Amino acid sequence: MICLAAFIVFAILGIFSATHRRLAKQAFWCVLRRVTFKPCQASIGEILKGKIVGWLLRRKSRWAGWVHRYFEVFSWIFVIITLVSTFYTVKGAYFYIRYGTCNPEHPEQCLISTQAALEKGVINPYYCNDK
Amino acid sequence: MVENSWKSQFPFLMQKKNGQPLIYFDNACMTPCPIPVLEAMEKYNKEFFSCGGRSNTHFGRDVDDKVEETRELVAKFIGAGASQEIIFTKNATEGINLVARGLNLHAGERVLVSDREHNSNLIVWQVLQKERGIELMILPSKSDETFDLAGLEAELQKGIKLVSVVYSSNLDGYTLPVEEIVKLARKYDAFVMLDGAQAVPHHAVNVKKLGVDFLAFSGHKMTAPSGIGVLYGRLAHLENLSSLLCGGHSVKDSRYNGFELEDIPARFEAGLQNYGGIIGLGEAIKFIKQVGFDFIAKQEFELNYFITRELKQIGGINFVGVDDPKSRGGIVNFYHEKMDSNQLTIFLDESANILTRSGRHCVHSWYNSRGVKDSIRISSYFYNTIDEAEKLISALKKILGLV
Repeated sequence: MICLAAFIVFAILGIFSATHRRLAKQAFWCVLRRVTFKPCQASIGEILKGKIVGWLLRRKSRWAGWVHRYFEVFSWIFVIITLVSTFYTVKGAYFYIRYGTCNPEHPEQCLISTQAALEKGVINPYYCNDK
Repeated sequence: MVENSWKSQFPFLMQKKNGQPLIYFDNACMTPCPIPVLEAMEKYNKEFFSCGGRSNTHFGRDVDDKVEETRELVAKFIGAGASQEIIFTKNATEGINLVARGLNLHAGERVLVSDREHNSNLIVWQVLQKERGIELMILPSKSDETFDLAGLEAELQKGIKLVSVVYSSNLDGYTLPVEEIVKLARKYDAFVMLDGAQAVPHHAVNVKKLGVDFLAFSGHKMTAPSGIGVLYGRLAHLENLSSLLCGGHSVKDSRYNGFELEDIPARFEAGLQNYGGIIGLGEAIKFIKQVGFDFIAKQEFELNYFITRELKQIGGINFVGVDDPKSRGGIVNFYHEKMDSNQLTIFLDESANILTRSGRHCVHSWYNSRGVKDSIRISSYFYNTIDEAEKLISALKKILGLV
């Protein structure tokens, strides 16, 4: 399942870099094969797993076996974390464009709030002002 | 075990990753170039870079001299009667395609191949089956995966135009009994073409003694650069062979309504050639002669014997192809019941800097017929050492301990 997380991450990085675009493409094909219940061939998933477990084999071989066995579980956790963080990033970006701050309720907690948003004070984005 | 210092001649092999020396066991795919080959190609590019065969400058003549010198070297190396019988190609695949398409086979004419052919000696015949209606016979191996000479004779009796088989297999390193194959083919007036890509780099080949009609091989499996290969053809057969490519250098003259073909071998070498690659191939042959086939065979057998013996002690391993290491040259091909071959290759690379090859090794047909998904191939050459083989086994044990 690591290929799904890899696809999301590399697709975003691919906006800026051609190398990551190629990796995103590989990850996409792997995801496509997974969703159609076909096994990935020497895919990006295997390469990533190889890099992680290979690194552990060189340094902490006990952990390598553990990561190798539960790699799918770790992949799912990583996918969920990636999806959740992507959701909050997109939401923050939307608020920033809309209100000048990524946190309209507490603009002071958002490092990139504009001066106008900070001066305006607390904004409730869910409050409807129509009368 | 005879240790050797040949490895130091290969800059590629002297690299390290994460403090670990590179261990290269993918020699059946391609081999790196030694210093003399690299220097010869660099000299060409720096000092006499020029168009061969058409340039009336001293640089052009230097290129021509080097190309013809290499042609003669190749001819002597494989025991050809004359240097005109040597055609430079891109690789063995191109050589096989040249013969397959150039023989002008007709509908109903039969071509026989073995059941362990690389795609380079299978697909082109399947294409000709569709395009021209030729008949393709696949000769099954015996139960011990060796070549079935009796089966060959039975097929020859039915009428075969060409026997096109692999000399040494890239699947398991098994060398076919080519002398007997050629004798049988002669008896029934069939042509013989050998795919020598895995044979020429590993043992002495003499086409004249063998009596073979065509032999194709690649430079990149014998310490020459990629992009250069050779097709040997008997002069009498080459006279009747059509070219795969036509164009510059392949004709003496052309008019709006016709052309006059060049002599052999120029007529088969259309367009500017890979001069750097040809010069590199010449140096590679000199280098291999210096190493010597006796040493190559001894080194490969000892490595194969050691790796096979050690692998047999690890549970869950199944070998691909013939069983006896003596018959397998430098190749050990296997798969593990619980560990995916691709994953195993990546683990070896990432954890121990050991390069091997996984997959179906371009012999998909063999894997499909046996229901084997894929495998991992360890292929050694003269610069590999027992110390490297020990590291490989140790890394394999560590990785397979994960499952």
